[in-house]
Order: sequence, then structure tokens, then C-alpha cells
Amino acid sequence: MKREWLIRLRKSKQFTQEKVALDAYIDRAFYSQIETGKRNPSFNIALNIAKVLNFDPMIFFEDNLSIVKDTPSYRHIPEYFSSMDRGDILYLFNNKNSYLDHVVTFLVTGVQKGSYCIIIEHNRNHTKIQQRLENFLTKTEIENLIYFIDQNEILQHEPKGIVDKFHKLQDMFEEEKPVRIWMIEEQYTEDDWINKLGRYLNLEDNYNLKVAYRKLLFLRAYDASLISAGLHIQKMRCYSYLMTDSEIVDSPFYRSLNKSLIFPSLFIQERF
Amino acid sequence: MIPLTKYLQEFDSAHILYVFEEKNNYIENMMAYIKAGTESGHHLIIIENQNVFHEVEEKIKKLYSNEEQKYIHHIDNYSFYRSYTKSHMQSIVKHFHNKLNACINENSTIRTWAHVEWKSNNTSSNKLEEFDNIEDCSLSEIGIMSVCAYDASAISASLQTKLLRNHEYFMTDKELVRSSLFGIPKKCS
Repeated sequence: MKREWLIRLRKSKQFTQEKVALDAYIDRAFYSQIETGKRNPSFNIALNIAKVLNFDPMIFFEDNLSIVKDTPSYRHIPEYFSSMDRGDILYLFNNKNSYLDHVVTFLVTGVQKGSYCIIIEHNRNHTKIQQRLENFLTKTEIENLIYFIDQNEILQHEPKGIVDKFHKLQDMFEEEKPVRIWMIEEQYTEDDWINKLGRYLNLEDNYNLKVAYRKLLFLRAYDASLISAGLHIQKMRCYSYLMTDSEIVDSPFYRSLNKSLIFPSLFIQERF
Repeated sequence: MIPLTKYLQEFDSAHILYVFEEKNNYIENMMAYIKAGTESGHHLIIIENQNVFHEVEEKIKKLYSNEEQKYIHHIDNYSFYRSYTKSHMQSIVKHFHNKLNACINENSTIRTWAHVEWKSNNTSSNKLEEFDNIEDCSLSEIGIMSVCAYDASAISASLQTKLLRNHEYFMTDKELVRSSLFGIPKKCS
């Protein structure tokens, strides 16, 4: 929904998009997308823009109340797995059988789409998964498109070893084909192997593998009973989708795309 | 007027799940909830432990007149949840409702703020599991506005996910969003 009121307000002050963007400390392209309604500002950015143009920042949120009331969008898991080839998913499972079903669906739908599938799992689960896959796929399909990696191998390696391993895989992959990665984490640790890998590769945002440059569907699974609610919230901010044993939904706190609408909490609203 | 608060006032039966991390923010949010409630002439039932309520009470005394304070009621959450069952909770609210209606105003509306916590005998290791047995504290059948607050470090992600299915709104110390899991039919895969 285009924010006509914002455009009118800016024009009435004879400001250019560049000027507002500059004074609000954001990129012009981002500001332009806020005007066209493609993206929503975070509360802090809303405040800055409101300061520049001198209006009540809450208008941004009022603007979207009707959207908030909309029914939530959720997806059946198989449907999602077979339609998407991009995105990152945080999967918190409760049931080990559902978990295995979803691994298999993830891999089978991946192969059907011609994706390369990498699965990082415990060795003890490999045979189980392999057997289930054989009900749906030919041996050749499994051999050509699915790559099992033992989780221990990842955990024992230094970042350099892991990077080498992925490079070797990447050399085998045709560039234009999508890739999907499924990985289970036994437990949550603050400074895990992906963090270390991120530092090694010197990435600024190292919470997940960079997905923008190619078609990559990335899923990370944790046992829901081992993670605290606080940590869950932190993680929701880093993944675009949340998955449970029964569905996939948008992550309500995911900021990078500014797709979801995040209101300030009660006491912060009270201050403005 | 603040749009979202106004918005929530319009929906008299909104349920907010609040998972807090920081005590000061928690108290600030409770104070804002009390303010929005009293401003619209609603009664507030605060189900809270003695320590936190004591702090809140000090603030209430400074901010509100004696007359206004009559709209703010405290129940000790320990005695409340110790004997917790869903029907028990509803009966308490109903009891309050009746009592208030009898002595104040036939159409008085109630809002609740409930800090859900358990006194655990066990130490750390299986604490999260234990909390998993708590069902939600939703009062949807009664149709009043409510906040159910849980300590983020004391409950598991698994319980949080369950709660997100039953509460339309989800609040953290600084954010308020619509729960993307709310209202999804249970079996869908």
C-alpha cells in the first residue's frame, strides 16, 4: 500500500527523497521503498523520518493496523518445501518422528526441483534417512543430488577445514541450480561453529550463511525443549521463517526484510 | 492519543502474551497497561508476586488518586497459581467480576495482568521441562483483555510456541507484534 500521506507531506515541505533519507540516516532506495509501501520502517527509523518531516511517528503504525488484523499466513510444510528455493528457516521440533518426516520431505522435494541437497546430521540417522529416501527416489538421484555430512566432522574441524569441504562441494555444483541445506544442532551454544566460520570468512552478519547471491534454502533445527523462550526470541530476529512440527509461518521479529510489522511495546508507545 | 493503545482499547478481548527479560522494562510495561486501563475506566486485576507488586504499588500511590486506586486490584500470584486449573482461574475472575459489579457499576469492565510463575522445588536442570506442563493462561472464554507474562529464561521455546498459538499478540520488553502462529488450525500437515 502506497503511503500517499508521506509523499504529500514530503512534497509540501519541498524535500527530496535524498534529503529525507540523508537526514534520517537511511539509504535513499530504502526510503523510497517506505514511500511506495514495499517496506516498513523499524520503530527507530520511523522516529527519525518523523523528526525530519515533523509528524507523529505512530502514523506509520496506524497506517497498517488493517494489515495487522489480517489472518496469519502459514504454509503446509511440504507445500512450502516444494515451492520455495530461497530463505532461511528456524525449525524447533518437539517430535522426533515428525522431524524425520520433514527431513525426508525437504530432501525429496529438493531433488524434484533439481536442487543440490546438503544434510548435516548425526551419522546414526544417516541410514534411517537413506532408507526412507529410497522409497521416493532412485539411487542415482540420491547419489547425484544429496550429500550427507556427518555433524561430528563439522564440529571437529577448524573453520578452514569446513570451508575447504564446502568449496569442494561447490566445485561440483552447477552454478544456476538451487541448493538447500538442512542441519541439526544438538544444543545451543553462544559461539557455535557457524559463528566461528563467519568470523573466519570475515562476514559482518554471521548468523546464517549468506543466501542472497544464489538460490539457497537453509534450515536449522533445534530441539524445542532445550531452548529457552528468551533465546527463541533472539533467534526469531535472525530467520525469516519459523517452523514447528506442523507448520511454517513468517517470523514476527525478522527485521532484515522489514516485511513484518513490529510495534513498540506498551511503555515505549506511552513515551511518544 | 496513541494509536495502538487506542486500538487495543477497541478490542476488549485482546490477549497479549508477554515474555519479558528485564525487570525494569517489565514494570514499565505494566504501568503503561495500568494507565491505559484506568484512563478508559476499566478495573485492573494484577496477578503478581509480592515483591514486584510492592514496587508497582509505590508507583501507583504516586501517580493515582485514592479514587483511581480503587480500580486497581492485586492478587498474589503464588497463591493463585499454586491451585491453578483453568476453571479455577476463570472462577476467580468471575468472582471478582461479580463482586465489583455488585459494589461499583453494573457494566464495569475488567482487564487482567497475570505474571505466571511457579515456585520450583527442583534446581536448574529440568526446570524448563517442568514449565512445559503449564497450559496457557488464556481467558478467551471470558472475553476480557488480558496480558499473560512469563519470564523468558524460565520457560522453554516449546512452551512459548504453544502459547503463541493461543495469544493474538506477542510482546517482548520492547516490541509488540501479532503472533504469526495465532489461530492456525492445529493439524495442518
